[in-house]
Amino acid sequence: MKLLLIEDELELLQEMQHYLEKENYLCETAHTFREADEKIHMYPYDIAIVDITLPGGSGLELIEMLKKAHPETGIIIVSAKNSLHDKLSGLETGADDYLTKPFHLSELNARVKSLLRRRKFQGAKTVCFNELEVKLEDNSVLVHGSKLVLTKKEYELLLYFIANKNRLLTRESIAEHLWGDNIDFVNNFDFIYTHINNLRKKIRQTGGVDYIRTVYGMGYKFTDQ
Amino acid sequence: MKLLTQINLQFLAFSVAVMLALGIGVFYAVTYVVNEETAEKLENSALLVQQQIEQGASYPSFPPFIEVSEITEQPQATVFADTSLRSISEEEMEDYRTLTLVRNIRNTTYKITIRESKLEAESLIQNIFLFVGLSLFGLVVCLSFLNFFINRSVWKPFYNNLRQIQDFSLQSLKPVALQASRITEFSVLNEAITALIGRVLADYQVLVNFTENAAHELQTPLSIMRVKLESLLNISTMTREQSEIVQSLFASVNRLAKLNSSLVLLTKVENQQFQGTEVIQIKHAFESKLLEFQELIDLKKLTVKCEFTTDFAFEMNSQLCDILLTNLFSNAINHNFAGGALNIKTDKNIFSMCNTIESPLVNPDKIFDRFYKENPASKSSGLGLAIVKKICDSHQIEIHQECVENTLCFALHFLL
Repeated sequence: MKLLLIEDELELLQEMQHYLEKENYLCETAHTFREADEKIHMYPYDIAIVDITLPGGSGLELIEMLKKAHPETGIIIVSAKNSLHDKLSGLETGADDYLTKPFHLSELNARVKSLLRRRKFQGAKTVCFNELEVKLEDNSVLVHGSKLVLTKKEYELLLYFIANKNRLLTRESIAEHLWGDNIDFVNNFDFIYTHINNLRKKIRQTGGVDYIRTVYGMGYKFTDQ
Repeated sequence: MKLLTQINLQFLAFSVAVMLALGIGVFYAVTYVVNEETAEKLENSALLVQQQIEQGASYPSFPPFIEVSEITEQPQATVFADTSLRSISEEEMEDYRTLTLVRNIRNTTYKITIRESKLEAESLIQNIFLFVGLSLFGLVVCLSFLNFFINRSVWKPFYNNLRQIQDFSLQSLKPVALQASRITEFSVLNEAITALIGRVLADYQVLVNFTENAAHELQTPLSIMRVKLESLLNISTMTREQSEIVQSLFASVNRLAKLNSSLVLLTKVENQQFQGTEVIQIKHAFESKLLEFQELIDLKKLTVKCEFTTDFAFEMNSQLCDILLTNLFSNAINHNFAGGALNIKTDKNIFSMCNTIESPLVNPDKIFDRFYKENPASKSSGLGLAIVKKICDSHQIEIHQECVENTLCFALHFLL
């Protein structure tokens, strides 16, 4: 999988690159409009992550060019401006997703995975992790072939975990993933604890292995190592 | 009252008053002149009669117009009077102006009475009065119309510009195109308004830019901090002490990010930067938001009671509506206790939401203030309800809170 990361903040760009390279993606970076422009025309990419505000031009223009040169490329906008107008014009230009800064890398990773699935496999596919099988078409989960009944949030949580397996997921990022960033939870993450406990219980009851590790004070890790 | 109506009415009132005054004046003047004229005529006739008597001719007698009689000695006198006599031909009473003279002519005292019918004079006065009155009336009518049309054309640019100013909106960022006028006052007004609007637009732009810059410039370093800390947290070789420090940093950065985005949101609502409205079915909006929060409600084991007796449509920005409801619900759930209650109901165009709270509010009046927290130790941003209030203020929604013991209620009055 080949990704193009377009972001003018070098520090942020590096971190994004490191995080995504660990997922075994081939990451190319560009931190100015011109550099991005060159790379877009040189190679095809599976996914491009585009910052809207760039020195030398607008990310929206890049998206237009990308759509012309390689219409099959999936596009995720990353913007510091949390404005509906930008979001709508971005999605109208042909972007597939929109992420507002500051975002969690785990969230970006989950979005990249979800977009890849939609792009590469025409949307119909299952996500597997050992004995766990998530059927994306009908949002159902199978453990050893038997059905696991989850609530909507538990289902989203499981998918998020699988997308970010072997990584620490902070409670903040889980809260934002499940509830969006408009919500103010008074830094009270009890409800996440409850969600996770319910998920664990259900997986175990259906005969699966509980892969969720609690990382004290920080969050959770979904791992079989 | 419209300016033009006011001007026209005043003009009409003054014109009528002047017309009446002139009419009355003319009436008295004409009457006076006619009476003088009659008196002169009577005196002339009397002089003629007197001369005839002096010349020794037989004195004339045409009753009731001229009557001469000899009387016993009386002092000489000249008396004007009005009398009513039966007319010669008809059986009606007729008014006469009478001049009675008592004169000593050649040692005989004569009483000479000269009368003149007032009918003629009265009809003359009437005719003159009618003519003058009609002329005045016509003049007033003509002037009123003239006044009306002149005013309308003179004030036309003013009204056009007024409409322009009324239609002015900050969001469009378009300066108003005022109609030029040759009238000094209007062009001065135009200049003043254009300058004022220019200043307002410039200030607004500065504010909008600042908000956007603040959002962008602050969110970027926050992003970097957060991402770096996340990477740091993923390094598993940290000691417990080190990881605690990083965690605390991470939590603070998250709070800062949250605070920044909330403040930016508040400013954006204040500056009315959310454009475009949709017709929102209130019942549906609340029900779907309730569904969204269902799991949190279940986790806190809250008892929810819903009474949607009415449904109504309300026009507002959909993004703001979502934020409004999210903040209301998360407030009601966050500050509730496990096993508490949440009652939601609509009644006509009032939506109310009551939730139990752990202890009665200390300062219920301050609940909508920015950064006000009932519990100072709370890590909440203290902006959630400030945002709610701001959104309500910027739409036609009145919000009231009421706290009775351990129940906090919010009533949203949607002004349809």
